Amino acid sequence: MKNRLKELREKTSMTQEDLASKVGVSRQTVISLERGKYNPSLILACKLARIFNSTIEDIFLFDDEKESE
Amino acid sequence: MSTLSRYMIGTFFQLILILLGIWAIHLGKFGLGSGLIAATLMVFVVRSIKTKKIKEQQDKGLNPYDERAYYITRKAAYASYRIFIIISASFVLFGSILGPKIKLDPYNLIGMVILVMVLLHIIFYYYYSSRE
Repeated sequence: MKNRLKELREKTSMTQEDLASKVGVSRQTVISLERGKYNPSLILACKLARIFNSTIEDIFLFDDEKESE
Repeated sequence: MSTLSRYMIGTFFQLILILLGIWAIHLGKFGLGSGLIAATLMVFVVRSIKTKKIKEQQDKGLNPYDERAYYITRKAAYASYRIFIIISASFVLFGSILGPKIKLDPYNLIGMVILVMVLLHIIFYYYYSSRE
């Protein structure tokens, strides 16, 4: 799933490590999330949305066609 | 439980497994003994590397036991179980067709099973870790 994590993180001048410690995951998880390789759980997605004062839909871009492949 | 105490408990059990392996070889059960020792040493090396990385992450205030780590472990376990079932079924199939050419002691077989399972799990863990 595509997402705007990297863009939002860079906008707030946060490092991957800062973001990881804020949401309680490893740096590797943040890297995987930013690359769109790993889809987070609902809890993690909520935590990320709260940090960026945004909604889950704003951060994670759900593509109906791609996700049903 | 802290990472260090977890590591110490794990190392204690690994030591017991190595001693059991040596004892099995001493009793003539070479397959079981070598399987146990090889699997335990493999687990020891991988755990030592992982513990060092985990400690580094914890020192930085990060959580190494996050949901992605559990997700990868689950996937690796399922993949190794499936491959193991396929290998076992192939062995039984070809064994029953070609006849029992290889005679195996059940203890040796258990040793090999442990080794193959551990090896498959490690391979799949690193495979999924690089992919996900």
